[in-house]
Amino acid sequence: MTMEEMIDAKPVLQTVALSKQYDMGKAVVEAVKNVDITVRGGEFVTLMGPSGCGKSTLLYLLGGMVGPTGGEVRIDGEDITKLTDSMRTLVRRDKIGFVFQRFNLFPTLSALDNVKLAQAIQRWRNKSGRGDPHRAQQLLERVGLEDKIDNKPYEMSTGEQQRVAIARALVNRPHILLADEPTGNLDTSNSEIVMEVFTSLNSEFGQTMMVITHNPEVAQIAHRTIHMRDGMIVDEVDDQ
Amino acid sequence: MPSLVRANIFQRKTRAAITILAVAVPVTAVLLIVGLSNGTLAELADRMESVGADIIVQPAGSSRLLGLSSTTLREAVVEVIQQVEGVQAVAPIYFWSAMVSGGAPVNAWGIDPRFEQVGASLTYLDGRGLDWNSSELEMVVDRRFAEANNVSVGDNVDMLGAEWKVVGTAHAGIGARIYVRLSRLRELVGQPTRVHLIFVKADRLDQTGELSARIETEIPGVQTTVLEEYSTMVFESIAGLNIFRAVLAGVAVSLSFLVILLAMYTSIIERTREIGILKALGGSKLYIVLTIMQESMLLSLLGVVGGYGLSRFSAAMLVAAYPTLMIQFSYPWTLAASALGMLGGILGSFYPAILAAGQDPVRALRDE
Repeated sequence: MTMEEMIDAKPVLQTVALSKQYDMGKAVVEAVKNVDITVRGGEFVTLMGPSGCGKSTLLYLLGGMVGPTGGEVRIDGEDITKLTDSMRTLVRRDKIGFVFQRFNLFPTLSALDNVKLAQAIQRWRNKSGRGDPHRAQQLLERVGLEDKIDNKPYEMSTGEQQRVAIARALVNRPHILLADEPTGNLDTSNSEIVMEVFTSLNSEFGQTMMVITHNPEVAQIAHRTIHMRDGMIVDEVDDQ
Repeated sequence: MPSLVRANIFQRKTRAAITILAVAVPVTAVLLIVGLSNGTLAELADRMESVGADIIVQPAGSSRLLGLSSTTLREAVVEVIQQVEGVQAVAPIYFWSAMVSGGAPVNAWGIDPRFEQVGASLTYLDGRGLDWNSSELEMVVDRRFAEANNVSVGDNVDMLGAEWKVVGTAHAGIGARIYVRLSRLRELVGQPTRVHLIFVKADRLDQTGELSARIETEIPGVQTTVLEEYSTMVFESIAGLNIFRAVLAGVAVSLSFLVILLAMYTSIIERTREIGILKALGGSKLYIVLTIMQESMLLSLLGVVGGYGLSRFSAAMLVAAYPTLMIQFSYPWTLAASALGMLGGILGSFYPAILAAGQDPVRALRDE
């Protein structure tokens, strides 16, 4: 995706003066302060900053998993902060894919069933569900796990587990993929494999992504890096 | 959703097995106890009706369940009843709850030749009937009693501190399991002129109702039962039985409820993180509630099916060990026990399911 194409693309995700405070008894912690971000379709954005600066809280706000104290989160132009918890769940189901640092796979299910579960949730009571019966397997093949589809998570390496998690996050064709330190628990070789997967997803399929990372190599392959400190955006760097 | 439910059950086999068993045992208990009470009462009624008489006369206020009543009538009443218009024949009975050779108590009936005149027709598999003129203590037993106690014709058995000779084995299903001569039984228990009940054969079958009423009117201190209605009256006369069954069913459903509640509650605590993942993937509250409840319903269903099988197996074992036991499984009670088992499962999983659906996904995902 060229810079011109990116500028022309519509914003998929946008925040306006987004804030989140936590009431910790006598003290109030401002985890996120007046954050304004715009991520356009096809963009690959990384979010960096020291531990405890509010990156994960921001990601959970963007995914509608927590409600903000102030401001807006717009997904495809729709302010999800105005929605009920149930409606936000539906937006998350249909438009957002999550990848976590600790993979969060179901230990009782095979790789294929873990991916299919996300599909089943999307299809459940959803008449417009996009249930492609072959997509889960295709995605696992796409991330190089064609010979592991029947393996349980404990029968796979950490890198393989993370690739299953990526396949699961993508199975419902999300408008944006949110990843919270996806290489944080991986060794160097597995990190490289996961980064390659992210790069190809973005370059070949135009998948919009926002990835929290401490890894400068991940930031290097992104279009843009946002730096946070103390809950605020302190810098934005175009990497390409 | 089904793959997750299946996987959870297969992955936690011990927990699943204990939960299934905890539903199966109360279902078995309900089915067996109801089956035993139904079987015993139905058999009693059937045996009474099979005697062939039309009316039973007992002391007023006695229980229609013979073993529960110790009140007696004077023998003179037998002759009075015989004189009532419309009576064709009468047969007095004295019964005794006998422990033969130290075995389990069974009803022994003292009868005289008039027993056959009211319609009773004992058929013998081996040996003969009682000799009314013999001075010996003779006994006829039915096939079930003979098999259960390993008794055959020619054996001597102990009853009421005396030795009785088994002279015949009769087909089971009519009256008592043991027959002895009325006079000898009454002598041994010290009540030579008393009877517990009197069978009456009516001249006309279509007038048994009127005859029954006439006997009660003409002879004070007696109650009558038309044998055609005996079965219904026996079940109705045990007022406490239905209360007992209702209490039993309540205890069973409470047990299922508590076990499922505990199993699902601990399961939710154990799987906090997994519930967080479901929410992160976009699983709605209803989806999570239904996932939890599907698991408990499947466990309950397996418990109900297991309880059904276990009750059949237990019944077969009981009957093999105690051949005189009668167990009659009732279709409505099988349905009721199944419904109660499922209800316990549904109720027990409801609170944990609501608890799971209400979890904060971020907190759940941070949970170790």
